[in-house]
Order: sequence, then C-alpha cells, then structure tokens
Amino acid sequence: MTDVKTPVDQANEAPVGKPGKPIAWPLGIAGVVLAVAGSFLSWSYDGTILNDLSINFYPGGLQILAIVVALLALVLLLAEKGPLTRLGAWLDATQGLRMLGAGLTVYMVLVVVAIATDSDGLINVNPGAYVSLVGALLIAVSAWMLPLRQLRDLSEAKLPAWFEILSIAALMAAVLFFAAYALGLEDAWSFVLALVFGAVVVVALFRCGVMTWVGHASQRHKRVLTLSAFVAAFLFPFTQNGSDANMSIATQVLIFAATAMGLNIVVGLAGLLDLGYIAFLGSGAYVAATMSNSAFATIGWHPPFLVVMLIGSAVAATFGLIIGSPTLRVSGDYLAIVTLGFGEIFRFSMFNLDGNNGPNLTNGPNGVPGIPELEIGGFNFGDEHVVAGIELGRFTNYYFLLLVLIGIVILVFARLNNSRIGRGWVAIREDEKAAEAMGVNVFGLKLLAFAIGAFLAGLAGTIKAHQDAAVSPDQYIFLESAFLLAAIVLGGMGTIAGVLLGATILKLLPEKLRFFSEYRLLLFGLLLVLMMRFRPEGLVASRRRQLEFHEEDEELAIEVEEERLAVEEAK
Amino acid sequence: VDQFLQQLVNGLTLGSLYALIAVGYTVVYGIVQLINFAHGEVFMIGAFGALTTYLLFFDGHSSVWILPIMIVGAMIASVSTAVAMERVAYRPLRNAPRLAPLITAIGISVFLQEFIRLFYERPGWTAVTFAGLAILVGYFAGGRLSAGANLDHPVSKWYDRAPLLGASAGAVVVWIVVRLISPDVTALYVVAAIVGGALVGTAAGTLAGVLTKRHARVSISLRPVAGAAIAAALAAEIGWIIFQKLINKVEWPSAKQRIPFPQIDVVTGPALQAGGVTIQRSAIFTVAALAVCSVLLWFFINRTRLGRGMQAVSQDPDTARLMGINVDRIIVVAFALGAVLAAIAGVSQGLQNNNIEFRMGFLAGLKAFTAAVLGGIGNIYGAVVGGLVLGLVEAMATQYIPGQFGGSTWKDVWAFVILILVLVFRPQGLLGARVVDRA
Repeated sequence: MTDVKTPVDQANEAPVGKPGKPIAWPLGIAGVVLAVAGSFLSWSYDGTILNDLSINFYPGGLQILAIVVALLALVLLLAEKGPLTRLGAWLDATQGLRMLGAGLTVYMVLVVVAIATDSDGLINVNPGAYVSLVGALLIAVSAWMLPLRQLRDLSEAKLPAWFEILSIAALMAAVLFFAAYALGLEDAWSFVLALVFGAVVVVALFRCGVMTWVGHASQRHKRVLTLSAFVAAFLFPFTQNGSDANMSIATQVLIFAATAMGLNIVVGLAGLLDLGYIAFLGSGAYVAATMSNSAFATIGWHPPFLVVMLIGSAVAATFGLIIGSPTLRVSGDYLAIVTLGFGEIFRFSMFNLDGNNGPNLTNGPNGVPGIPELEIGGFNFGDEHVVAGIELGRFTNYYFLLLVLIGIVILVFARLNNSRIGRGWVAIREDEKAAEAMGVNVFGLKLLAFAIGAFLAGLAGTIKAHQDAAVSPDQYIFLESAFLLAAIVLGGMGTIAGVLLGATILKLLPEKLRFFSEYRLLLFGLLLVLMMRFRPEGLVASRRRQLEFHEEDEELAIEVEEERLAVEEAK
Repeated sequence: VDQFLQQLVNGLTLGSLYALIAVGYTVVYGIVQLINFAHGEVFMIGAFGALTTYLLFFDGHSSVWILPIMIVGAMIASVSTAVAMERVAYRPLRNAPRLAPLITAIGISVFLQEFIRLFYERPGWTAVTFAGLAILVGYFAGGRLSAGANLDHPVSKWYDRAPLLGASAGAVVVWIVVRLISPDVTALYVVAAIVGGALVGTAAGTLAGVLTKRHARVSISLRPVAGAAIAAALAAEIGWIIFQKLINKVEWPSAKQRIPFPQIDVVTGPALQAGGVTIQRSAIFTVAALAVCSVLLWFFINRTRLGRGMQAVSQDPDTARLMGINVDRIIVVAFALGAVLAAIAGVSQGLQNNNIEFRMGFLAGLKAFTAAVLGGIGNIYGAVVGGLVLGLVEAMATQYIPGQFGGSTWKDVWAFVILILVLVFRPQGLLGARVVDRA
C-alpha cells in the first residue's frame, strides 16, 4: 500500500489558492521528523509484547508502519511546497495530509493504549512513543492550517501505458504483501493496529486523489486489473509457509464471498430481497453430502464430483424456481418474508428428515459427518504438495478450487451486469411498472435472477460440504442469511469489489479477533443499523446506487452524469 | 370428538397468542408500510419486562394480584423499546428505499436478542441508561422553563441547545465523579451529588452559553440553565438510588439459558378438565386477554381521537397531515399500540411455557407475521382472525395430517407453507385489505 506512483510529467503551474499560515509547512516537516525519530527509539519497556518494540534504533513491525505513514506525509508535504510541487497541482495533498495526520495520531494513541493494557499501565510506555505521538499531532495540526487548493481534473492525467500497468501491479503486490503481513500477526492488538494502518493509508490515498487516478488507470486497463488481482490471490498461499491456520480462514472467506456474490445478483442487481438464501447453499451442500462416499450418506449412488456439482446446483436452482415462480408476483416486502419462510422450511425439513418423522435423507439434527476429501480426475484434495520449496496443504487445494469458483461467479456477475439482462434488472429494481411499460419481461427476468443466484449458491454448497467434511442443519440458519445480506450491504450492493470486501471483513474479523467473539452479534446488529442510517450505499458505492439512496442530492446527480459521459467519451 | 375439541382448544390458545402479536405488525404496516421485523423482539422484551418486575418487587410471592403489575411492567419495557426503535432507527429512514428499513429491522432484531442474552444478568448498563435519561430530563426541564426560546424550531442548531445540554451534562459529570468516589447511598454523598451537580451544572451551562453566544439564535437566561442542572442532578441521583437499593440487590438469572417464569395463583396450576378435554389455566388467561384486548382495541380505533387519526393516516398520510393530524405522533402511537399487545402476549407465553428465553421472539414473530398476512395485512381485525385461523390450522395439522409428515415436528413447516400459499393465491388476505404496492 505504500507506493505513491503519481503523474509527475504533465502538470503545468499550480492554480493559486488562498494562502495558508506560513508556519504550517515547517510545522509539518518537524512533525514528520519527530514521528520518524520517535519510531527509531524504543516505544515500550516490555519487549515481550507487540512483537518487541523495545530496542532503540531497531524499529519493530508496528514502528515501521508508523514510519511509512510519516514518509507518505513527507511526500505530500513536498507536493505542497518543494521539489514535488508539480505533483501538487494534481493531488489534493492537503486533504491527504489531514487524513494521514489524524490517522497517525489515532494510531499512536492506540499504540500507547495497547502497551498500557498489555503490560501494566502507562509506566511501560517509553519516550519514543510519545515523541512519535507529538510528531503525529504536529502533522495533523499543520495539515489543518494548510490551505485547500484548486486542482486539475485527474481524468486528464495520462501517463505511458506501461507506467499505469506497473502501478496497478505494484498496488496489487502491496495489497498481497500487507495481507500476508497482517494475517501473520498473532496477537489481537497488533492485528488491530495493522488494520488501522491499512485503513488510514487507503483513506488517505482516496482523499488525496491517488486512488481516483488508479481508478481511471484501471478503467483503461481493465484486463490488467482483473488479472493482477487474481495473480495476487493465487500467490497468497505461497506467503503462508504451509501454515494451515490462515488458509482455513481464507477458504471460509472465499466460500462466504462466492455465496455473497451470488446473492448480490439477486439483491444488488435485481433488487429482490432474499432472506432465505442460505437454504440454496444448504441444498447444494446436502446433495453433495448425501451423494458422497461418507458412511452416513443416504443415497446409494456416488457419481463423480463434477456430476454431483451439477446435480447440486440444479437442485438448488430448481428450489429457486419453485419458490420464485409463485412468489415473485407479490411485491418486494412480501418476497422477503416468503423467502425467509422458505429458509425456515428448509431448515426444519433437514432437521426432520431423519427416518422417524419422514424418510431418512439427512440424518436429522446429526447431519452427515465424515464426508471424504474431494477427488477430481484422480487428484485428491487431501494431499499435500511441495511447490518451489513451499508446502501447500489441504486447505490450499480447496483454496485454489474456490478461487476458480469465485472467478466463475464474478465472471457471471460482470457479464450479466453489462448485458441486456442486467439492464433489465436495474430497470426493474428502480421502477417495476415503468420497466414493464418499456417492454421488459419483468417476471421472466426476476425468475432468472432467482434461479441464477440459487444455482451459484448450490455450486458453492457442493464444495463447502467437502471442505467442512460435514453438514448439519444448524449451519444453515437465518442468521447466516442475514450475514450474507450484511456483507452485501456493508460492501456496497451491486458492486464486485464492495461485496468481496464486505465478505472478507465479516468473516475475517471475528476469526482474528477472538476476544470479542462474545459481542460479535451485538456489534453486527448495531453495524447494520448504523450502516443503513449513515451510509446505506455501502463502503464501495456503485454510483447509481448512491443516487438511489440520496435522491434529493442534485450535486451528486450532476457528478454521476458527468462521470458517465466521460466514460463514454473514453470509449 | 374429544380429540377434535382438544385440538380446538389448543389451536385457539396458540391462535390468541399469534393474534396478539400480529396486531403489532398489521398496525405498523397499515400506517407506514413497513414490516417491523423486530416486533418479535418487542414481544420477547415484554416477557422479560414482566419477569424483571416480578424479580424486583415480588420475588417468591405468587398472589394473583401481582399479575396486573407484571403486565404493566411488561408494557413499560416493550413500549419503551418499540418507541425508541421507531425514533432512533426507523424515523430517519422514512423516505429511504424499501430495502433500507427492512435491513435495519434485521439489525435491530439481532441487536435486541444479543443485548438481552449478554446483559440481562449484568444490570450495570441500567446505571448508564439512568445517566443518559438524567441528561434528557435536565434538558426538557430547562426547555420548559425557558418559555421564550423555542428549541424545537427547525432552525435550532446544537449551539442553541448548548447551555441546557451543558448544564445537564455538567450535573451528570459531577454525579459520576461523586459515585466513582463512593458508590454507597449515604446522606452525605447524596447531598454532595445533588448540590454539587446543580452548582457545577449551572456553571457549565452558563459557560457553554457564553462560548456559543456568537452563533446562537436564542439566548437562554440563568433560570432555565439552573433548572436544567438541578433536574439533571436530581434525576441522576434518583436513578442511582433506584439502582443501588433495588436493581443491584437482585440476583439476576443468566439469559443464556431458558429462565423459569414465575408461577402465579389462579392463572397457572393444575389444568381444568371438561369432559375429555384438558384446558390449561394459562390458556384461559390468553384467550380472555385476547377477548378483552379486542374489545378495547375496537373502542380505541373507532371511538377515540387517536384511533381515528390512525385510520385517517393509514388511508392517506398526506391528506391527514393537511387535516391537522400529527403524523409523527400517530406513527409512534401505532408502534406503542403494537407493543402493548405484544407485552400481554409475552406474559401469556411465559405463563404457558413456564419459561422464557432470548430466542423466543424470532419464530413467534414470524408466525405472527404469517397470521397478519393471512388476515390481510393492514387490517386490524384481520390480524385477530388470521391469528386464530393460523393457530387452529397448526393444531389440526398436528392431529390430522396422516403419515410421517404429521405430528408436532412438522407444524412449523405447515405454518410457513400456508404463508406462501396465502401470499400467492390471496395476497389481500382472508378479510381483505388495501394492498399497497411498494415495489
């Protein structure tokens, strides 16, 4: 996340703005110097906490993060005044600095709190931490004294194609590196602090416009972006040195993300609120379980996995059609409740079909345990492999398979979104009656959305059954559906990146932060309410969605329209 | 025949419970076209409110006269939950796309369940709530005293309110400091908290007034500021005395398991036998409660100003507003009305099952919603009829569906099947209602 590759070549003179206070800039430089110097000193008396921050002139991991933030601030300061002023004509350096300063202050305060709580009290905080804290405060104060300036339009900034491609790749590499680093942190405080660092840097990059430029660049090189994202994801297991702990979390995140992506078609594109989506995942999983070679499988037929996969997703899609065809006639709120009812019917049925209360299909509350490892074409997913000296365990195999799956799901999503069908869905979502009047086949398209969503969930379910090695009814409760929905809401309905981000956050944080697992659901409920209140369009907002939630905002409407025109012009 | 009668009784009991909850869904839907998904949790909190009342005041007793007080306690708990929910979560979203309130409702539902699960055995949070309430009390008392300044005016900003809020907050801060020094209720500390809070609060409020003078639209004199500080200090200290003398004395059970519900004379105890039919006493209570509530509900809807206002708003909110009806208040009343009935349902559920738990609202709420849809959502009498019909159907399905798919394990499934069938073939419900298309 540390690369600031920015267009340097083409800036003309910077437009003149209101002059700030003359002391601001030197104050900022002094802040940077103090922050860096403090980070080279010892932060904590106790060397056993937070991966050892106690040695002078040998910065530990968290101290390096602080130095990185300070250096970013230095670059932005130099863009304000100094050798990089030409950069300053393009980038909103002041906004970025404000974010960096405030963020670094929060980070340092958290560090002090962490040291104080991990060992006993503030006495264990060494002067270095305070020096850095003062530096952070100075940066923040100076940034608020610096003036805001007029900027040039970043969409005009064009650099050689190789440079743009390189910076996209570098960004992906930075993301991969940071993910591997953060996941490698064992204790919760370090992990939280690393997350704070990541959030600060990302928000600062957004604020100062680097991300806007990256956005424009990746518009021009879409393939590169997709490819490099997948390469980064593909390389992730190789950073783990054969450790299974993080890989197991990663596979869970991927399954969750793939399912959420399927639900995103139904909710995000077609605007049909489905509160029983987990049932489709469940039906796929149950099909795979009952047709597997498990001793508890109830169906005597054990076809190869690819066939099972198709059957499982077909069964899920059929359920989708059965539940969808009658109920899609009713209006939106009712649909939510009907799907919720369907989810409950599914759970009760799986619970009851144990031989006593119905035919024995699912072993009732016990579920189907002991599902063997997947085998596709003689390749057993339980085997370990050594590639280039790095051990790749069982979870890594599933990880790669799931990566392919999520690739397929994303492909389906993206292609549908940009097709006639996708436009039809958006039309239905925004105004069903108007869409019908314009000749959109409302019923057919809604049903299609439902069936495709169910199909993809079923597909994910068949893999999930083998990866978990067991299925039972209590994995498929309403709360799981709510979690899927929350991932979409949190990330941003109808977007790809947003939903991936939301799914990662919702699955990863509880796994890494075990200490708040007791309060997990409480915070989750609160999060849903607050998101709907303050940012209903999600973290990564699709512009059209944003407009739907802020109908009265005229400026936003004009902005979105201009953006659309610019994109079309570029084509 | 005995079997049939027995199932009839069971069905009516179950149905009465559903009907009482369903009214809450249907009233709110009729007025704001919102499926208040968290209504099941209001029902659950009603049951917990009744239990709390019992544990606070009557632990160990079983006289029947406790029951009305328990019901009142249940109503206070559930009504304040429902009103707070409306005010904090739903009102800001009134004009948002329909997905937003529904997702909010799910969030509230999860939050309330977890809150009860985690914090029922730890009453410390009530002290924090009392502190918040004290600030509110101070603010409103000050607002009453400053007759000249209209703080509810839409132009008012936070700095107009700063003196009053500062005074209340100052008083509460002093109270916090005093109580951190000594949590005991002794005359010295009580007086110190009140007098010190009043003085420091007044000073803080005056200071806030001076600081915001440059922006403020209205100026607030010393009298209301002092009033706010005194009221806040008094309220905070009263809250603390209640907390120490009453709440903290009780051994609260953990809500992570089922909690036994108190047994009350007359309404619980040995079942009555009529021929071959067994009738639980709590069943009679439930059915009677529904009957009484229906009559009162009819009276309220048709014979009171508020009830007619509700009818008017549900027919046409904009015109109702033009006719001088305070739509916001009507919506609050709708939430409160549903909560009152849900509280009664919560008490009768506790009496019937002999225990309550934090999860009980989810399924009951879902069933009650089914009942509301069955009767025609938006139609209040429909909710009552729908609840009774759903209860009867469930009971009969348990008895009369042959083979393995009968029996009590499948009755929930049949209820949802009915929900789906009704929505498909008769979305306006049994009694019919104006179907509002909000897609």
